[in-house]
Amino acid sequence: MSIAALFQENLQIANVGLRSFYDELLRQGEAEAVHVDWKPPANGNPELIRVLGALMDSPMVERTQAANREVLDIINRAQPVLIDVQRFGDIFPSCAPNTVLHAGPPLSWEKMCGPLRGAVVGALVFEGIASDQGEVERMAEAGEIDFRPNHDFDTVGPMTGITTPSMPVFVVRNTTFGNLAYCTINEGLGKVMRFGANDESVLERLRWLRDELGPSLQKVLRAGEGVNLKVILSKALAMGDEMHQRNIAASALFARDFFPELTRIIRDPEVVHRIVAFISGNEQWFLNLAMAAGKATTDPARNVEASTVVTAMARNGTNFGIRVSGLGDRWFEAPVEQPAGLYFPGFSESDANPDIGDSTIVESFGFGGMAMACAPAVTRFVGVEDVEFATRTTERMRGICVGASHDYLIPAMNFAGLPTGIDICAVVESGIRPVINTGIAHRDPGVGQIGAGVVHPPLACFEKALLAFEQQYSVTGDQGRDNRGRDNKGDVQ
Amino acid sequence: MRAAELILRNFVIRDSYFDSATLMLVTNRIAERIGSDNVAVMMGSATNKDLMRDAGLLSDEGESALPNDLLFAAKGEDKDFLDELLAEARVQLFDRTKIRSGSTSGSGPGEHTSVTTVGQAVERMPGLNLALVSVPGTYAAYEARKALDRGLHVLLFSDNVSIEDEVSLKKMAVRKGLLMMGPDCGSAIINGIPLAFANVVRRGKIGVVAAAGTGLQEVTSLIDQGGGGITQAIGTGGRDVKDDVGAMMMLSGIDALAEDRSTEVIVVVSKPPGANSLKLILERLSALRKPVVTCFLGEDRSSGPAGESQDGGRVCAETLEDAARFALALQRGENPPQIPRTAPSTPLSQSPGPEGADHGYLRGLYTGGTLCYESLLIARRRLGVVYSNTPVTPGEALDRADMPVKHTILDLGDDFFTRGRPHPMIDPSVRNRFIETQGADPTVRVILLDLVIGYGAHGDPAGNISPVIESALQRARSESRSLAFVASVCGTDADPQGLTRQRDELKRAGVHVFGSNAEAARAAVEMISGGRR
Repeated sequence: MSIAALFQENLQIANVGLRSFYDELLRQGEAEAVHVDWKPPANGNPELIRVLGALMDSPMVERTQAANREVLDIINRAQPVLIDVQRFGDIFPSCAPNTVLHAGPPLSWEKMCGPLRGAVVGALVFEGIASDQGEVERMAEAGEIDFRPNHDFDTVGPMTGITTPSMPVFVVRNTTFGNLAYCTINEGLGKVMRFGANDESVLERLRWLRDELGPSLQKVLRAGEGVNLKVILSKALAMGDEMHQRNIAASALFARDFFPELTRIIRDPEVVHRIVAFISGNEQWFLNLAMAAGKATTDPARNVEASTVVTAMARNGTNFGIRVSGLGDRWFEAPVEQPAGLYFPGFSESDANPDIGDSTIVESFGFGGMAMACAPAVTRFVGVEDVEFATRTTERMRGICVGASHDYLIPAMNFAGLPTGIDICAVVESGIRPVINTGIAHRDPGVGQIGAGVVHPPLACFEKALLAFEQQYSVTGDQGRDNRGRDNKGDVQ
Repeated sequence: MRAAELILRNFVIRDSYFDSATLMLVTNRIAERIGSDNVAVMMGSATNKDLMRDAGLLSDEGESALPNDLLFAAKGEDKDFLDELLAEARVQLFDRTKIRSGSTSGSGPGEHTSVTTVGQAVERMPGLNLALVSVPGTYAAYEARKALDRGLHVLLFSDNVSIEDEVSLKKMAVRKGLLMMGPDCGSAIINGIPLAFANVVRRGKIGVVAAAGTGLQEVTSLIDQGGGGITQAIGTGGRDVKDDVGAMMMLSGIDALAEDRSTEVIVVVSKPPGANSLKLILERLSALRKPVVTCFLGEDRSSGPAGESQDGGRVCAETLEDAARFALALQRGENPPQIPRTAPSTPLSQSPGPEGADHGYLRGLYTGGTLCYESLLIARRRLGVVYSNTPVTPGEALDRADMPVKHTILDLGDDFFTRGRPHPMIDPSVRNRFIETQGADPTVRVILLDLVIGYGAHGDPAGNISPVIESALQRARSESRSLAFVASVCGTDADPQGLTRQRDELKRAGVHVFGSNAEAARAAVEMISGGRR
């Protein structure tokens, strides 16, 4: 039927392989053709090629495609709204005082990098659990601290991502699905806990966040209807932010929306001034809100059976972990890489801490490096002068995503949507990894940020996930077809 | 270096904002120039000044900088050099044209990124309907499967694909109603577009399905030369008609041509199919209302004249030339010409054939596999044993593929000769070397050649081969040997190389040129056997 239909169409040809065949097609001048700049799939790894092939050639393929469409739809329908600020411990009262949440997949004290340890020390001193570094180390080694990943608590945190019970967190509600997500308040630049700093100035700021900023934000937010983050995210994209390295427009938009209410509700001009100055003085203020929006957006997309879409990417400074919708809440981990970027004066790559933070949640829903085309100013962090590098990066990311955003648009690309829904199969097959725009922390605790740049998740995360997918869903290739309809033994749950 | 020897230079440009990425880039460049990290170009914010102070890069002048002031700092031994560097940093920042020089204008987004997978190709060109796959065999099945998965028809040029993969690919294609031409499909013409190795053939009313690459090329070219044209020429890959595959694509192709309204006559070309495949093909053909010509090269049909309708209305052709001729006749509504059928070849054991050196030996040097096979069949009929690297019977296999003995016809496109080298249709040099050695062999009387032109093939094969032939002929003359070159050109005048131009060039070089491969083979054999029969 469709062979005869082909005879009625204009031939449009993909040339995969010999370039000369493409040149000949062009020379004929009658066929439309596109040349595929081919290289061996999955870097030529026969086992992975076998799995990719089996997946394609099994009844799974339709299920997976449908599941991935569903995931994309869930992400697209999300409506993240900032509704509240609360102390983390008030949200999770069962959290013991010795609980310390950190960025990335689960990690034991022994394997934690310098900045993460530095932040743990600061946080426990801040919480009054320990008096100094020595005591924290003793407690940690004795197993008296309960280290947990933020993601276990619907929470995300930038860099070290330390979250403890008395810290105030943003509460973002995805009004479409009703789920909540949390993220700490951005401390600003310089010496901050998220980069592992823990001196008195850091703790002093945390106390102010806890005692004045947090409660004030809470009061203002509870008096209103919340701040629709999707609107700010969309506008900020059009103003040159990608919401990971650059949050200048988004922070300003937030201030514009929020300050009128703030000045109405908070009556003490000194307090108002401190808050306004703090928010206005931090170009990355919105990062934590973008992260909470990302977490609120991607969480309902978790556990969609048979989907191969990534729902979270996170690093703990030691390992990079990804979660895949159809594979539940398992982390697929590999050692983190070193960001490539530009350094503040006096610092170089040898000072840099390996990649760290939950902030990759923004790439998980299409922002950050995926949205580079919206933020040409950021391209210079990778040492590139060519502004079209930004466009090319986003275009390349399209190749590893299952679709595009409906609402987050790129004006400079004819309003195409952000590439959305990173597909592990596409990543493994093409070897193209998501691009992540990131800050770079000093490898010693307490020094803080020393640069910014670009980093990638290790390919091994995606490869491990793909192999697990094959196992979980008993992808059997051609033979599996005979069992169609009753072969459900690989299903989740 | 001791710190005391270093000079610190700062200068401030008021109210000049640059983003930190730009500044870090400039800082890096300058740092590279002086080979140290003692450089900073930053905005004068408190945080930045803290950093610079800690790095020992802030002077009193720098301390005065405000957040919107641009602050340059460098530390080194030579004051003039430092000032020069800072001036350069300033130029880099303020020379906007330089900053923009990397970008190009007038091209839309997406055009810069190369397409690296079939999936991306589909996104780039949503109307995509066919994939031409020629990647190394190890990955070929994977890429073909992916294309089928995306709903694309596939021409799989690659070889070294397992039979299991071929079967599973073709099952998938049949399920999806797609063409899966190949693996090892060298030629097809779809909607008038020559794919891989194929000729520019007039569009017309004859549809071809072939499990034989140069068979497809020869039949379609001869149809064109005979004034006709084709609707489609579908390649299946040679293994399709083996019983392991069960002629899946041959059958799909026949069905598609049967359904296609433009197709009035169907031609089926292959080496003899496996027993089950043949049965399936004949069943399918017998149900057709359209006239059918079959050319199963080497088919054992010991009775009945060629051209006669048999087996449910099919017309059997022994040669590719006949297949084209009969198809043209059927399309014109004529009966196929009733030509006398040549007698079947005598069993080898009873008649070794005229191998006598008195008339010399035949050496065929072929680039096209099917053409080579056709010539072997024709030559064996008169000469008895004809050796080859792709022999008709196992007893005629050469001990060494590259060492012709007695009457030999070589397929130089066979794996033995193409491993790690381009196909002789693309690069004639392998054959040229054989022409030299065979032409110098005093026992050789006739050298039989094919010349395949069209897309995919060498740009001027006749021009390339002529000097070698001329020099072989000259040498034979100087040694008072009788040596003849016999050839045919497979192609059309619409091919880039031009049929007539190629023939003329061969004639000029002293080659006896014939209108088809079968005719050339018969003539070559005639020269050897000298009409003794």
